[in-house]
Amino acid sequence: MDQKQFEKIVDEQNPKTPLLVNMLKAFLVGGIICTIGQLITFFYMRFFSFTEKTAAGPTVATMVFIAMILTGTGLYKKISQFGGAGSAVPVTGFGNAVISASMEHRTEGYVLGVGGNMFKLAGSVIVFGVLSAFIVALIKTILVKMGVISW
Amino acid sequence: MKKVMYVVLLFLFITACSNTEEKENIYSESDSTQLEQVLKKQESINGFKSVMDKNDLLVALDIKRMKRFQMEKITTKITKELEEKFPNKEVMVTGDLKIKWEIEKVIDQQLKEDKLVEAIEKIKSLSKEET
Repeated sequence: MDQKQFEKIVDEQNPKTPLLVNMLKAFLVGGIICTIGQLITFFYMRFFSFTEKTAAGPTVATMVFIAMILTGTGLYKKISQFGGAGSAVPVTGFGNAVISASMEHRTEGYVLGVGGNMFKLAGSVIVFGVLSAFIVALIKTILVKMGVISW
Repeated sequence: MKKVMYVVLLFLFITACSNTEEKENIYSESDSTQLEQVLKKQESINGFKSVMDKNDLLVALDIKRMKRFQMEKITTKITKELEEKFPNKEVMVTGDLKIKWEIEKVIDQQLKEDKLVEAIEKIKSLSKEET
């Protein structure tokens, strides 16, 4: 029995992934999260002087904060067990990654455990975001100085 | 669980977008017809709200759902057309919902002269905000 035959037997024995149902669940959960985000945007626009353009920042911060609290209380785990990628792809997944990593290493102490491992998963996202923002801003500054485009 | 999901999906399909045409503007007896002439023939908007004083003209568009991807193009096009009609006014056209709400507030309060100028300045500074 070679590798391929073995894989075939394993495939036959494993239960089939309900792909369509999983996608529907992810769609629903992701859609609900985004609807909540839109409501928060409207809240900031209604009661503070944010425009559609500027309300994005506080909305993201609020969503991440809510996801962090839900992760701490263990509720987010249940949501992501049901929704899968629908709960991981929106920005709430970022807050979940930060808090779940720090909760996992809590027993190792606050500095080396929580502090050292907090950004194990989400650190790459922050580094990538900051670096790409810097490079894009650099390119745009050069183009503006050359007179190709304006701010 | 399955039943709940069917109900939710049905709800999503049945409640489609519904829009009624709306337009409103103030303080512009003769100008308002000119303004409507320009904005009525636009295919990509559902309606608009606008306020006007001696120097400024603010127009908040209600852009159709799928046309929002070309928001910048549409606003610059309409700005150009309005600038031709109102050469002595500073025209600002936007698709931002917040600006529309603020204009609605000004229309509701029926502000006069000085207070109107003040309110328009406030809205303009709001739309220039970047952070």
